[in-house]
Amino acid sequence: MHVEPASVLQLNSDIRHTRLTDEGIILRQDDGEILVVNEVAIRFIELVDGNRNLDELADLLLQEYEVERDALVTDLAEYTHELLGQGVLVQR
Amino acid sequence: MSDFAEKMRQTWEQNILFSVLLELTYGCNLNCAFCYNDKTLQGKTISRKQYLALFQDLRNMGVLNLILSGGEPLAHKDFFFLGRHAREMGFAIRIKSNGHALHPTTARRLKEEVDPFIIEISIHGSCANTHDRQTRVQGSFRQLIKNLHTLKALKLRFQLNSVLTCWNEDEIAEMYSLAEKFEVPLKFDSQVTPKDNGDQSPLELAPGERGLRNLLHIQLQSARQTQEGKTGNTPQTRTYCGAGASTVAIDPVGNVYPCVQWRQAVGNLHNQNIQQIWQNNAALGSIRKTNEQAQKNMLEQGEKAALGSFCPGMANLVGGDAAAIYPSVHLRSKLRKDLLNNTGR
Repeated sequence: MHVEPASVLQLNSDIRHTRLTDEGIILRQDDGEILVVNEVAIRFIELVDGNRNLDELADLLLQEYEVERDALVTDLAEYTHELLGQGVLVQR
Repeated sequence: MSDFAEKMRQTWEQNILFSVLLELTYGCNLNCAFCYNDKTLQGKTISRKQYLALFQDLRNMGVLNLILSGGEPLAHKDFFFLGRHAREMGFAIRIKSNGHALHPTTARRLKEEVDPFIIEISIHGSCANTHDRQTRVQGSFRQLIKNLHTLKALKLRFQLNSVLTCWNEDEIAEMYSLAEKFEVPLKFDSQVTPKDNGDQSPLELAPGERGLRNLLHIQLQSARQTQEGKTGNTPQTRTYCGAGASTVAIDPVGNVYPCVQWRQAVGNLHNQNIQQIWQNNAALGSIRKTNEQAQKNMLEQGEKAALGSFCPGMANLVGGDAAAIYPSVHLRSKLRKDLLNNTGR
């Protein structure tokens, strides 16, 4: 699964999520699997709306977190790849 | 402890609302002999608009689990409207249903429009005689089995729930076999509860000691199989359960309770929104303190605490003190201890 900055992402339809204290909970309804993720990851999930591409999502996160753009984009691409593999995200 | 178990512990410790049960209606298409709903409840029912505002408030508060219950929730005139909106707003939806109306058209609609995480379906026996005796509707068992096949075919996740009674206590093994045929869990509640208005008449159907022993024996065997090779410890929490700490239940006229069993209203949605009810609420503060006392009381029981399941709501209903350990806890504790001693733990 190749991820590019122009890849438009959306949540799989069985995904439900919420914030809980300083972390996030992601429920995959299809198999009942629950993932606990950190604050940046849950913010990323919240921003995925089926219209924004990875580049735009990175820009939004940069407005909220003080990190280097290049490092964020690299981490985000890697994390997106992981979430695609876990069935949390799909590419449009 | 898993990451998720730790998060759930935090919801109890920090009073973070995570699960909300909505009793949409006390209307029902069955007529169960031991139904605990107070059908004489008076008041103005919650409107569509109020439910939508509630959903928004709950999402703003971070609530993930929304449980649609009743009565029979599908009997509510706006069930699909509310279910669709709850889905769009991102809740993980659980539905507690008797399953009687889940014929193919409705079940398909449920999957397409509401997409619940799970449907919890009540079953009262392993055969028509017992189930229909409880529901007081002839043919309800046959209809239920037919509908369970439909749910299975549609790949709708479900589990079976049952209350142990003196009517079904000789069918426990057969009921587990039935659940196995559908490859779904069966959860037994070993306590028949009084009605929400305090009427104790449903307790006439409470199981006998033999029935309780049979259930515990089967559950113990099953636990041994599933727990073999596993290690782990139970997290220590301040309160005995999540009632009023991470959960609430809301009845059809907007009364808010710490949980479905603990019928001590802490507010009403006609007067305040759920955020106002949840924060700085003296009644809820008192509930939480009682829940902490219940935990202390159970811990003082030592080993018994782990052996006899306790429910503060039930304690409140049977004796008026939610922190007081009631007789059936001691009985279940004794039976479980006897079983463990006899089978060699």
